[in-house]
Amino acid sequence: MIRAEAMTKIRIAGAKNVLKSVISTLYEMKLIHLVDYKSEGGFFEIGSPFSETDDYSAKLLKLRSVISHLQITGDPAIMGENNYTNAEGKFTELFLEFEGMNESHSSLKEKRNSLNQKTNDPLLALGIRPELLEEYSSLAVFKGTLKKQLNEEELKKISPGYVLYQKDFQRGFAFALFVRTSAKEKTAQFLADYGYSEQAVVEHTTLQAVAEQLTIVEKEIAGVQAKLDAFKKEHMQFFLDYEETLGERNEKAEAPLRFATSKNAFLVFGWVPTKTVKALEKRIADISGGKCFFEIMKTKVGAPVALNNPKGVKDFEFFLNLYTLPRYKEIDPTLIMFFTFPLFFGFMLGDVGYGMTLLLVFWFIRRITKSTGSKALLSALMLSSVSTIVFGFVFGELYGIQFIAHPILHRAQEINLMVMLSILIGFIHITAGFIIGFYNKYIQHGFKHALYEKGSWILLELGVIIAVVEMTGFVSLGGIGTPLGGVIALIAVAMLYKGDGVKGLIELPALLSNILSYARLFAIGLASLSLALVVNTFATNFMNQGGFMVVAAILILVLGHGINIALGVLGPFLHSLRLHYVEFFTKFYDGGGMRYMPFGAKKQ
Amino acid sequence: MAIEGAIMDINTGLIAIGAGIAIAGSAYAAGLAEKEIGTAAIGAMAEKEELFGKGLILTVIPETLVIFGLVVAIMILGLATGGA
Repeated sequence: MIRAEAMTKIRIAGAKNVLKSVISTLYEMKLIHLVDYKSEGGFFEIGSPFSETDDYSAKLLKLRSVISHLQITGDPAIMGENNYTNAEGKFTELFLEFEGMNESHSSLKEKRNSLNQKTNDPLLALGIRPELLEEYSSLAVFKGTLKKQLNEEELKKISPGYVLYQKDFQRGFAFALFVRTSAKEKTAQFLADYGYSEQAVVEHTTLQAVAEQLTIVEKEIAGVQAKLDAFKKEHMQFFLDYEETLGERNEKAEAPLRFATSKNAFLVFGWVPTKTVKALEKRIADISGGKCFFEIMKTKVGAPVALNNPKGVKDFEFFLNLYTLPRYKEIDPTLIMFFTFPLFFGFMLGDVGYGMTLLLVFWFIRRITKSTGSKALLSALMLSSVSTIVFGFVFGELYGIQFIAHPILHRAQEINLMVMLSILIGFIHITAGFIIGFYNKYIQHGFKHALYEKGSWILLELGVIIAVVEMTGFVSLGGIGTPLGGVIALIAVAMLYKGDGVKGLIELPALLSNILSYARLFAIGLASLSLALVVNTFATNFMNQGGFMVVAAILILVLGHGINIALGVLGPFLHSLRLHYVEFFTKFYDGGGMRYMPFGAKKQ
Repeated sequence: MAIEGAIMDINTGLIAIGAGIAIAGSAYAAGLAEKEIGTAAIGAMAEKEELFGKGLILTVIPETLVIFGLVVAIMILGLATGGA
């Protein structure tokens, strides 16, 4: 619980003719975290995958393209041996069918695009038969689009005889103009002022014919789409299952790439949870018929990390996954976060009303959400909401209203006490961090290291406290407190220098800022309380005016408290997290552990 | 009496302004610092999503400045109630 799951490194050596069954067994048991063999040019080499992989990969490629094209999602199931044998033929047929439909679908879409372009042809929009717009011996033809409407009075001056067709078209005008050949050049100059752009006759058709074709094509597309939809509906479970089954077989077939092999033997290295070693050993012996040698190794270097917390506490592993996993030998701080995270959250928000609202909201979201990660986070937040309710009673607040006249703690008035309390919590939290750090260093590097690197900080805190307690006149130690504290602090600094070097000395002022940083516990709560008070005062003023204003008052209450609750999640959540990550974890946490990913388990 | 009251008010007001400056200045400084770090952190996260935790930590480090501002402000406000 406090430490990650104990792991044991094992080595399985065996004859190559049992390799396949060993791989199958390891895959089924989902216990071994494989360590890839790295060739060192000795007797063993990296194994080569079974010959089936080529076939599997080619099929998977096709299969995944179908799945992504049809946007299939769902829960796959592994196929039985019988189904799998039949699946190959079925898939080849289905893939041909799919390819056919897909091709006609895309060619129809292309056709639709070109038809759509034709509807944008200005000459067709004019409604003149296209063959009439081609060149004549005695007439010049201008056709295309203009940016503004032609002024016919002006046109008459340049070219006395003309025939003009003009029509609104998109953001300009479609037009066709017939003039005498003699006036051709002048007209061309004249048209230049109107933003004339020429359009060639593309096809001899009419807008109506295009529209008719378009309806036909649209119908055909809809038909193919319907077929595709039906195809998807009918076969999607098959595709999913086949993909899953093939994927599994492919992973098994590729597994030798991670093993060491010689001509007749193979070697597998991996990590197994210590409590399951016996079971695995027995299983391997059973299936290999004595052709495997199972060996337990002593080393713990490079062990993967599987956090091991009871239900409820496990949800808080989310925060470590977000940050970085602890190393194998380190303490797993999840259990501590299980207590302190909701504590800080509740201390900051501390309102019965807000707590209940959040509890309901989180509970509801948790019910409809599916991802395990979000579920864990929401469970952690629900616990934080409960803590908010508890602190709401301590502070006597309900939606910002003081509903207990004399609460245990009146946080709007006893500001100094609240600051002191926050800083005291910080002091305890950080000292706890140092103690855990001491233990971490102790189990990794021995007592001396732990004493110099982490013990020095605890001693420093002690020295400063002794000095400060007397200086402030809190307790009288007969005048020796201040010098005694000073001496202790100096010794501590010297020890720190010995343990951590200059880096440690640079960190010294950070101790003060880290502890003061916990003042946010009180500050954020006060900000949220003030906002709630503003909303309430505002709403009360409206309410007193009566009539229609009552509706406005209710609106203000709902909106105001809604926003405050939203801020109330964001602020306390981030700040509580930050106090853990920045102030707490830096005292002991190294992180960087490798996640335990057993062979055969699904990637998350 | 009236003049005396007015003088008292100005003193209290100045104390309040002092507390305000303490918060405003430190908040502005923290904001400036976080702006730069936050941009870089988002950039790093776009490349590698696992960096969220580290990015968050680096981004919120300057926040301590505001906390210092807050502590100073509370001490200044203490002048108004206890000092005078």
